Amino acid sequence: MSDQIGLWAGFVLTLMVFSYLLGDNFLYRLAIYVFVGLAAGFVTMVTVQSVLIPWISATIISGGVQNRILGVIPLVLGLLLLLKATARFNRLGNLGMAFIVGIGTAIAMVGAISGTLVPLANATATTVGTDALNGFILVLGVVTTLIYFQYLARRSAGGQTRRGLVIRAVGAVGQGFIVVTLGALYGGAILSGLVVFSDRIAFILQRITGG
Amino acid sequence: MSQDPKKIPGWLRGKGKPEQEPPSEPPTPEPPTPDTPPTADEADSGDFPPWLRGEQPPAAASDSPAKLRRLSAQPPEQQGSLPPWLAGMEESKSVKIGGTELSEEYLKSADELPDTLDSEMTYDSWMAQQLESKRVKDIEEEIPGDLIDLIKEDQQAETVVDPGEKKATGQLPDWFLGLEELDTTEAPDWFQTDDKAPKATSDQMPPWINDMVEEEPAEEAPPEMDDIGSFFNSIGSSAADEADEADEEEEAPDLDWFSAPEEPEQRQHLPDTGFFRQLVGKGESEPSSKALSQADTLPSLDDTQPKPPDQPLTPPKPAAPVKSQFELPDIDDFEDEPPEREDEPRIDIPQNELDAFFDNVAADRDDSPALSFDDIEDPEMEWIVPPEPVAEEPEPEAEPAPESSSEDNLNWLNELQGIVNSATRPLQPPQEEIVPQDIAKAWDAPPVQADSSDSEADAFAWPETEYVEPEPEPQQDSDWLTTITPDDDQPPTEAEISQALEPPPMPSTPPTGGSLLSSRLRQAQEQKAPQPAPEPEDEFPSEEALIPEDELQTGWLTDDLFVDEQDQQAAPAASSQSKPDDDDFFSMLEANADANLLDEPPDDSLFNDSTIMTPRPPELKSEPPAEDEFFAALNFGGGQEAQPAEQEAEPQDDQFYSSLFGDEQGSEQPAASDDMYASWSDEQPATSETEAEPQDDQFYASLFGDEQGSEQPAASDDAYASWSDEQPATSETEAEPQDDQFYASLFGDEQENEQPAAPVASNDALPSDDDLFASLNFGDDEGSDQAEPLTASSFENEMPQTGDLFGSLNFADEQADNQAEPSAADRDFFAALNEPEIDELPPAASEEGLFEQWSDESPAETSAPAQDNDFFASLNEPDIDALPPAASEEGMFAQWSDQPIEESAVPAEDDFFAALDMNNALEEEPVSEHDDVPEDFFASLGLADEADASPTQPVRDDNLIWNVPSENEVPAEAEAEADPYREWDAPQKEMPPEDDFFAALGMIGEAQPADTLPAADQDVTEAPPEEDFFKSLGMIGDEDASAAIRSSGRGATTPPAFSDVDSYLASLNSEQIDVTPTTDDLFKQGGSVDIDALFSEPVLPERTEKTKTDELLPAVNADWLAQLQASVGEVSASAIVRQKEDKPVEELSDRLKKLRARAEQIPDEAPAPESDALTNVLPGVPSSLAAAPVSGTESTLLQNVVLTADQQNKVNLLKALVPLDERVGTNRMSAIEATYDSPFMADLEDTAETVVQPTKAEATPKARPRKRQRQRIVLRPDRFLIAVILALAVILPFLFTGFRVGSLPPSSFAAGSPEQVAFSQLDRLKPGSLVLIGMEYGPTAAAELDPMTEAIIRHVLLRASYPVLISGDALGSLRISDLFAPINADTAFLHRIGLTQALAANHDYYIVHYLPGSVIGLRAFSENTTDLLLTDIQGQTTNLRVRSLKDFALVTVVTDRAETVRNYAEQIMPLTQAPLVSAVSYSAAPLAEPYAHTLGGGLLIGYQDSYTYNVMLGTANTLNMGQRIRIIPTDEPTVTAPLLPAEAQGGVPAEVSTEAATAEAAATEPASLGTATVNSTNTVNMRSGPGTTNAVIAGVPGGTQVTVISYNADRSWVNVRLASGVEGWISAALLTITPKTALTHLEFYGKQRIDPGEPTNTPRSTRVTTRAASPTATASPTATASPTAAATRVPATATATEGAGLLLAQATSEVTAQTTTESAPLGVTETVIPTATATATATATASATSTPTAAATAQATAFVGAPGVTFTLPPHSDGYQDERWYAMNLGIIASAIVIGFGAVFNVVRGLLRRGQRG
Repeated sequence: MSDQIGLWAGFVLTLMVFSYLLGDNFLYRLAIYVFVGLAAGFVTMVTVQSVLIPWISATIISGGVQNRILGVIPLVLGLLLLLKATARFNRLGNLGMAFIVGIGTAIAMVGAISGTLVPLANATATTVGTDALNGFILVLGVVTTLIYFQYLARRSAGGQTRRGLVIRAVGAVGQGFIVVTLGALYGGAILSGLVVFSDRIAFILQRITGG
Repeated sequence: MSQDPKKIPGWLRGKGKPEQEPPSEPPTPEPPTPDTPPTADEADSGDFPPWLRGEQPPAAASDSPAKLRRLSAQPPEQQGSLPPWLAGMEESKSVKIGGTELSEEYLKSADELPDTLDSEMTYDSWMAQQLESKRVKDIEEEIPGDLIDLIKEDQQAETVVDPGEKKATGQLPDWFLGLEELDTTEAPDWFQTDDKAPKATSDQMPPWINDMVEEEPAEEAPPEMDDIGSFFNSIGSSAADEADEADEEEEAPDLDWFSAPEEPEQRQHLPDTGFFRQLVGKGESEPSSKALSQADTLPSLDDTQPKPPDQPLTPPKPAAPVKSQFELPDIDDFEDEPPEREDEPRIDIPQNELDAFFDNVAADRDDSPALSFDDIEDPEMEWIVPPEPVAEEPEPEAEPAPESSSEDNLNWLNELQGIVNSATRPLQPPQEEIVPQDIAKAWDAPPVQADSSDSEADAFAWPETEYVEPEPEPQQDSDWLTTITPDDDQPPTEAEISQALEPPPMPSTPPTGGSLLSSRLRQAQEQKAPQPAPEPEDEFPSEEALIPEDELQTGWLTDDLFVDEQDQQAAPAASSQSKPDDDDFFSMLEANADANLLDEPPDDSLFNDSTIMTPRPPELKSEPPAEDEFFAALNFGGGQEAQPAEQEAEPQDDQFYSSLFGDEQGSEQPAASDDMYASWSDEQPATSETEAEPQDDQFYASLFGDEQGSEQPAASDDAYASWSDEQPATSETEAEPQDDQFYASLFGDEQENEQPAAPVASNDALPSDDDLFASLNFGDDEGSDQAEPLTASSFENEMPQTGDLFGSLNFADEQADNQAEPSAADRDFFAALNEPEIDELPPAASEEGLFEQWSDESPAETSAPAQDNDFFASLNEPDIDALPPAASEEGMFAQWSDQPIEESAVPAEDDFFAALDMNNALEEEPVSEHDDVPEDFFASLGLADEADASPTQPVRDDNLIWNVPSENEVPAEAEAEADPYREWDAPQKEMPPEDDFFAALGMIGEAQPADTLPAADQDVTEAPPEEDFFKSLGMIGDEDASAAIRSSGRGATTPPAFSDVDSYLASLNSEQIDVTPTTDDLFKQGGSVDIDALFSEPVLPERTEKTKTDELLPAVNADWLAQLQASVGEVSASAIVRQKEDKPVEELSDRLKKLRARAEQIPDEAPAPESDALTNVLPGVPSSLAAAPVSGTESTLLQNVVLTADQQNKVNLLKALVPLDERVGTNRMSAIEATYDSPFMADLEDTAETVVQPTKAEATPKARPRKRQRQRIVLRPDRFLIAVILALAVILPFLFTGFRVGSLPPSSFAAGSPEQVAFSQLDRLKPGSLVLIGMEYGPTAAAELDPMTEAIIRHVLLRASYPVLISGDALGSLRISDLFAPINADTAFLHRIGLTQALAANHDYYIVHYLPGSVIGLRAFSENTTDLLLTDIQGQTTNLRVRSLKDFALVTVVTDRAETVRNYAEQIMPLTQAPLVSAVSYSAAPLAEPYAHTLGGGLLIGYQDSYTYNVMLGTANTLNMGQRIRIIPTDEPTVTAPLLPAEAQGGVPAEVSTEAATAEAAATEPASLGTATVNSTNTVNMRSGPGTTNAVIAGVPGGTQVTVISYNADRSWVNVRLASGVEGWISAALLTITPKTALTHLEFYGKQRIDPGEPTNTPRSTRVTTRAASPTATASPTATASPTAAATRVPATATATEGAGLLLAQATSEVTAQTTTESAPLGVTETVIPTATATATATATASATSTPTAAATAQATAFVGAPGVTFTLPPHSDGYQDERWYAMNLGIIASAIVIGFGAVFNVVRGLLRRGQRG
């Protein structure tokens, strides 16, 4: 029964979202609000249940002194982050934000090197040897794309800047790769949208047909 | 002792004594005849204007310039010579002053003055240099033509009166001195020319002076007396030189004495502390000062006879104009003052014309009863000498009056001439005075520590630290003053006085008794005073005690000086004690000063008050020579300790002054009565309340012929009253401060009479005695902060009341109403100066003499005899004592002014006030800092506070600020030099030393409105001469003078409350600035300079007019400015303005009230525009605080930039994007406006043009609750069309098979594709492997990725692996569990993996954690995998024992964001060896693909791959599902035993054998999960199985360590093995388990896990057998016949069947395959689940022969009932998988079409537009 209620609720909400086809309306907004509200609630629930409680139980409650101290620190920082919502004490939350941003940046930097640059470089190099065509295309795409994003140029007498012909030519190739990439992304977005839309249509039909 | 009588003013030498000029017959002044030009002789007679010239102009005065120039060339040996009149020089016959000729020697003696003070340059030499350096201005330049005319008139008049007598310079007219106004009836005997007066010498020097001088031969004078000798010589010579100036141009007063020394080195040699010592000694030993007459020498203190006054004060007859006499300001003039002054009809003041003034004076004199000087009673000497001490100790016999010398008169007249000249001299550019550092220090003496008990005392406190009681100098011969003891206070007898007056030998021992002088005065006062002092000695009991015995014997001096005959007779004893010579005289003064000043609190506002008095220079303290002491005595209270100002009635400090000037309080207060200064100026409120004791003032009253005195019994005998007080002071109140009578009498202060008690109430702390100096504004020791209240009190209370010196001089008196006005407190001395208090002026011209003496601007300035200069010169002289007693009026001032000059290195020519500035605040600041204002008049006066004394702030105190308004009024004269007023105008302007005092006075007069002058004499008519006089001085306007006099009654006019801002603003009206110095114009007129017009013409007509409206109150302005100034950096000007605005409404002016009302009516908050109102309020401020311009229009920058077309387009675009708010910047409030409560500020003027109307229209409307607008759906056709197209494209495939374009995804991935790689990675999983699956997507991507995730999970499960799901998306974490719902519902799948029940969390799969923080969460997870996997998303224990990421066989991430893939690749993969399988959406595929290739895990993209994946799962190599076991141990004692029951395995011995082998292997290598220790003290039971129901197999003692083998399901029991090998179960509660480190997941569960091995070889379990039995169901093909039935059924049933059949058909085939391959023992069918059987039946039905036909039929049947719609719903796969695919395909097509169409449309449209453009 509960499943049926959920399914029908989903059905109705889906139709409400689809109403956006006719323009922004209350139904659409209501559906969005419901979704956002539920999402927020779920996130809170998950955070508390999956993060806070395990952390507290593992450190403050059952841990030793050190664990308790260590367990309090992130909680305090987390509380400070809550102060970001207040105009008066929002600056206190900057401390937590500093940790987040700083650590996140550091982690991202380290990860980018170890998980992206090096592996991709190796893969690219490996690919060149194994698959000449793909490797060539890959290298060409990488090089030309990088060249495309360089804007060094001489300034002409008229004050205008114009890159060199070679650069412009290579950059045009890179621009082509970029276009293809963006096109692929755009196409992928369309496909994703169609998949989702089809799923919703199927869901609706399934509700209609009683499936 | 031979004294040069020439040095003594004639009137002091008996020139005007009754013998020569009977006092009964006052000189009958004849009105000047303007038409009569001066004769050549007259013009050449001297520097003094003819009209000021006496009858006997000294001939020698004509060559004064030359002599002055020779002063600097004086040989050093001439230094230290006493002044001629002090050194006993023989009178020179060449110059005749007051009938006495000045010898050429004397005049030349000035040339011998030393240039420098290498050997301690004296002041006189310094002054001489100054004089020499200054060119005497031409009279044409100095005096307006009118004045010249006036002078001529005077000369003519004098000629008429005494045609045969050649006018000589150095003589002040009687009217000038006001002596003719003296009421001789009350004058002391000595004051009158009676027989009692000692016989004067040929020079008519008072006997006591002559005696003193005579006894001090020049030879006896110490060499250091050269200074003083040169000083006086210089004075005399200068005077003589000036007198000799035949050229009329040379009559122009020389302002040199006002100017600062030009050469610093000269200043460096300014007289130091030893100056006075030298002064005393030198005068005696001055060999060259032969010209010094005996009268010039210090008066003998033993002279009990009032010789000094008698002889010189031979006043002209009252009826006779002074002009007729025109010799000297003889005392005679004073005697002539008619007693009943007030009875005289009021004389209308004719517009300040000097001639009219003179006429009035003459008329007044004529009308007034002519009283001879002899009729004037001798001044009460009590004010000089305390009565008691005098009575107690006999004074030394005063020497016979020294021979009076006309040179004396010449000296001071010269000084006066200098002053006068300075008044009329065109202003010269101020010469910066570079004061030596030492001198600067002297002036910068820190203020005296104020008494903490009394705040006001701080103000009055003297730099006690600076002034210490001087050490008695052994070699000092002149310390005879120190010998004065309190005993001397006893009224000395004549013998004593005479004895005292006898000059002791030079090294004479100074008489003891420092307060003798005061005691004498006091004594005399007591004798005169009907009532004793209200505060007797009790309050100052310690005076005598404090005073050294040797210092309390100076009473004789005062007696000699001022005691009248009665007093003289009464105080001979004191005088008889010693006969101090000149040195003694000074030393006595010093001692007296010490005694009085050091021991007595500086109650005196006189010296301490406010900023007026400047403290004593610090050097003086350190240097205790007699000079210092003298200054201490003069004191100006410098050496006083911080004394409570509350002791108003006890101005002990002022004893000297009081004694000098007849302090009434002195009579009241034994100690205080001694104060000479107090007698001068004391307006003591306390005394005012008490019975009037005008005894002190008698002297001056008599001198100046107070009219009031005749009316007032008490004041009648008051010499002061006789002098000038026309006011019936006592008529109104008896409590009139008698101390003030002197000044009151001098200048006829009416206000003091009218408001006697007011000052007391308001200013209790102000000592009455100090009024003089308070009025003199000697500056306050204290900082400006303290100075304010003090000044307030001093000027408010005292000034008006007492009619202090300058208040009376002044030519204007402060309004008594100001007393209650705190703002009016700032009125300073100059305010008083400016105030045309003509009413208070003596009605007769008797006061004129004083005025002339005090202010050079008096008419006498032009024709003032050289002796006039002596007056101020003598003022500069440090030694008051040196002055002849009779000449005390002059000498006192001279002495006063002398001190500061010497101390501050201010040239003697510098203004009088500079000299007066004893307590100059510049002490703390070196004068060098005041280069700009070195000779600032105010600075010299001490007006400027120390702290404020700075070059940048010439206005250093409120007093100066008081003059601030005048700055605006100051004429912006291009020729400032010629403008005497200019120097006074701006406070910022440093007052140059050359500033003419009178010019300043003129400015003050400008600034000081006449009407604001409160105390106007009731008898205006009685003071016409004064009025004219001041009018002539330009202090008041012609029209204003009379108006002010008439309108401003005493206290009748209250100063306008100027504290309100509008008043102030009104005062700031710039329109009033256009005041031009009329004098300057006059000066330019050439020869004919009308001095009358000069002074009578209102300098600031507009200001004067303004003052009529009471809108200008300089004091308030000053206050305001002070406040404003103080607020700089602290409070904004706007705040001040607002503060003003915050005043009570009642106090606001109508203007502000109106503004307020308007503001209240305007609630609008709209910003007010930049109106002119603000500009009016604070000129300049709006511009400086202009609001930030916010332009709503195009910026000017844009206009200046040349833009290309492209750039312009961009600009236009930006403009379009960012619309400009035109309102911005309009009517923006400025900062000032913002400070107001109401931003809307109407114009103050209320003019229509300037009134700012509320800008409601411009204001931003208030935010109203926005009416909810109906949301109208704007349907855009194109978008709607596109949406419809896409929607149809997606929907139609679901509905119509015909729209199902394309084909379904492939059933398998292409070989080598990323998808295939990914699938292979999963398919290679070994059973029991942990697969980390990241579900990193939310609900939005669920439709696309959920199938993918489900497929992966299924695959993992199929591989008997355990999925561990994590997520960095909270919603994704929540949805993970939802993914298992369909799996659990897929029984077929469960059967396939060998499960008969749903998958269990933390058992078959793990949803472990939510990883917040995205990349941080991933990193944390990778770093701390073990901990994060301990609990699941619901907080339950996962029982996972994962050491690290390496324990995971595979990492899979399903996400719709490529970034997530990158994060996993960056944060997870570096820490694991497992491949990464990425399953992404279509949108994320392009960016995630590189990682898939790099990491080698494969890539699954979107719905297509998921579809294929699911298809492939159907055919995937399913692991041996039968081998899949619960990883969590069951409750069974053994895991393996139940799994392999022999009965269940049946004919599968191999499996048993395999399991047995595994068991054996486990036995040989027992697995250990760790160790445990029995934590019980007792023996615990080991049981055969988990649970207490099992049998106990052993007892394990507590503490025994055992090996953990396994756990039961809930881990409540632990299977352990003892060291003996015995295994059993012990409750976990009794064990302390230590897990085995590095325990892998497989190890943890390994024992219970059966390695699946190869699928084909794995033994089957029971479940496998059961599952294998399902094929039996497949054996039910019988059920396949149901299709027909299905066809006939309802579509729902048929659908269900078909659906089931679709899935089960595959299962069947699989089972069949398995059966085929494995030869499943079909015999075991009893275990088949009935449901399975039923399912099998259905499956068979569907799968068998499900034909399209049947399906079509069924569908057709299903929708038969639908009306109008007859389409067949195509059969759909589970979840419309196929339909979705088709829908996607069609959607892609539609999208492509739409996109293409749109592109074409845009292209076409562009082409069309281009075509249109073309």
